[in-house]
Amino acid sequence: MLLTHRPDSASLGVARCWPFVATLVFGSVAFAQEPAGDLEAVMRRIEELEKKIASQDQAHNEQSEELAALKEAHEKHVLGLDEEILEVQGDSLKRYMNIYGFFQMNFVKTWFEKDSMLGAYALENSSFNSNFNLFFSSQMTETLSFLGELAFFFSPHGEIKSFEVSGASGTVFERIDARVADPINPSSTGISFFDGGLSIERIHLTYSPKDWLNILVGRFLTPYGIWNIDHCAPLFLTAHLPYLQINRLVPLSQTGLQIYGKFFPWERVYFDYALTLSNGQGPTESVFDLNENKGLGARLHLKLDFEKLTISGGTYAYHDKVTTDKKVIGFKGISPGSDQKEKFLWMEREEVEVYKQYVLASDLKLEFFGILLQAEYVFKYTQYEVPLLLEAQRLAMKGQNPLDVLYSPDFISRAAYVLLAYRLPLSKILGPVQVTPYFMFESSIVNDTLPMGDSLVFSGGLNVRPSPYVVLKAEYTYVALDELISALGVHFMYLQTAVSF
Amino acid sequence: MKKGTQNILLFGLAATAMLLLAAGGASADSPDDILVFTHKSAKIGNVSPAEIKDIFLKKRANWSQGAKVVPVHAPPSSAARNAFRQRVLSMEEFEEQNYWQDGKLRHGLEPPVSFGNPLRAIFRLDNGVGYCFRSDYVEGVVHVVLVIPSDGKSK
Repeated sequence: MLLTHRPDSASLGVARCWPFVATLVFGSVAFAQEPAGDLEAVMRRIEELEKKIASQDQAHNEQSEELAALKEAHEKHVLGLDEEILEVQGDSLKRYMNIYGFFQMNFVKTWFEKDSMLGAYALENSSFNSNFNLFFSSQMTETLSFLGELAFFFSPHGEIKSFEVSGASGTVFERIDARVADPINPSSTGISFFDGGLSIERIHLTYSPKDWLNILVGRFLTPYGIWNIDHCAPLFLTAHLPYLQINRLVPLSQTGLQIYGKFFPWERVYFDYALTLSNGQGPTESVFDLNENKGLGARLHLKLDFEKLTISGGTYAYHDKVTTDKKVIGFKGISPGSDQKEKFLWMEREEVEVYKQYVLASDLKLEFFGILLQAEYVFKYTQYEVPLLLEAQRLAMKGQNPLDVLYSPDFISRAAYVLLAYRLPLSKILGPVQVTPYFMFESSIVNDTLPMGDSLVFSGGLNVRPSPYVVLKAEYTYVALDELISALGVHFMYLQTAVSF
Repeated sequence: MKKGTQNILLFGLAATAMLLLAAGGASADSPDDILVFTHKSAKIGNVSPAEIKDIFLKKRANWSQGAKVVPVHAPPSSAARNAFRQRVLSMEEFEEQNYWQDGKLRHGLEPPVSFGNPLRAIFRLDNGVGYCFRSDYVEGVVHVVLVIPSDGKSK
């Protein structure tokens, strides 16, 4: 019956309203029945509601946690963030010590006047390894790093130690002989081996909190010019070093402190600075300083780096006081009447040569469309406080009697080179093989008080880089010297293979 | 309104509409776009391609805002790495190899580390910067600081 009964709208309205009406009626009755001060039921109700809210909060928190876990799982799924893989990959972010380096092999052929002074100096046709350098580097933390470079040489073996001066007794010609007897087997008296040279080219710790502030302590390459910063044969275009490097008008490396940094004033504009404080130069500078004065230097460098054009220029100023000394030991005669407590052995330090040097080095580099124009200039003024007693060889070079007693005067040294090169646009034919012909002109005055020693050098050659690790060079060099040395000068042909690894 | 004025207004409206359409077309997202990104928490604003180039060539170790930065490359010889090299570093592969070999000898420079998925690396590296193609990008995981479209002009 109920199923078949279709209620009319009036009865539907009553049916919808009746719970409301019932609540009102029963509520009124209940309210009327409960005393006004009895709050127990209300308190119970509040407690129930609080419990309900707490349980709902807990459920909400559980759901949030579940949601976060689901989100993380989703990210892991999407990114493949498998913990095991991350452990392995995270290892590759760790810093290890890197070992790398370079070496070079040379062949040199020379042509010169056999009856000139060069006859005593010039090399015969020779093949030799002139460098084998090993680098060690590590980025220990985000801001701490170290770099070390060891150079292995066969030198000083074969280097000339002294000349025999004609007519002067007691003078002998000597070469440095670096052969030593086998210390393990003393009975093997005829067996010896070369104890070749080893040089710590640089070893320093660097703290780099900012691009504009890096603090370096240790032995470092002097931050001057282009050649000294390039430093390695695979980075040089030419097969021979320019004379301003060979003559070391600026110390090539120093031991002490360097503060340097880089600013970016505008996009593609780099401004570098460096301040150096070191032992300076001297016979023992890499180990200890022989005077209180420190070598001070400052470098400024600006570079504009555009797509097809790079211009950079810099200057380095350096001042130092160089001391060379000797230790003299003597004995006082002990006479019968002398006080026995008086020291009979004495030792003195005697300064042999002390001079101040003021150096200014400038460099310029221009690269555009494969053309490279590079130049460096060094000026050095040497001012003596304790002048050097000139040895017989120097006296002869000055045109003096080798037996005279003369001291070196203050003097000026200058050297410059200009290098022009063009990287041939052969990449479509040769791929990554780079072929660069070059020409270099050098002028140097080692000592303006000497009548000889000035030179003009002309070099031309080809630099081929078949891979990032190998550079091949073929070069012809002509050195024009003072007539007193050789009117015809000297000609060199270099073949060099420089390898970095 | 005079007919001449009406014509000018209509022409102006048409030209504006065409410009908007053209601009809309130029800024359309392409799967070949390279997105350069940092960690989600890094407070780095938009950066220029030149700054990104300096960072990936290790000419600078800090953002221009001052914070340290660790560049993370896509794997060598990957499509993303090649595209990044051409569009941002403006180098051929052998030129980049020469650059790092020379930099190693000059200053002890080491090239940036490479990861199979730079997104994954930057997700974990607070001070990292990496890149990937838009097609490999996952929304909400990292913070995009630069978009380099296939024509090389950054957005």
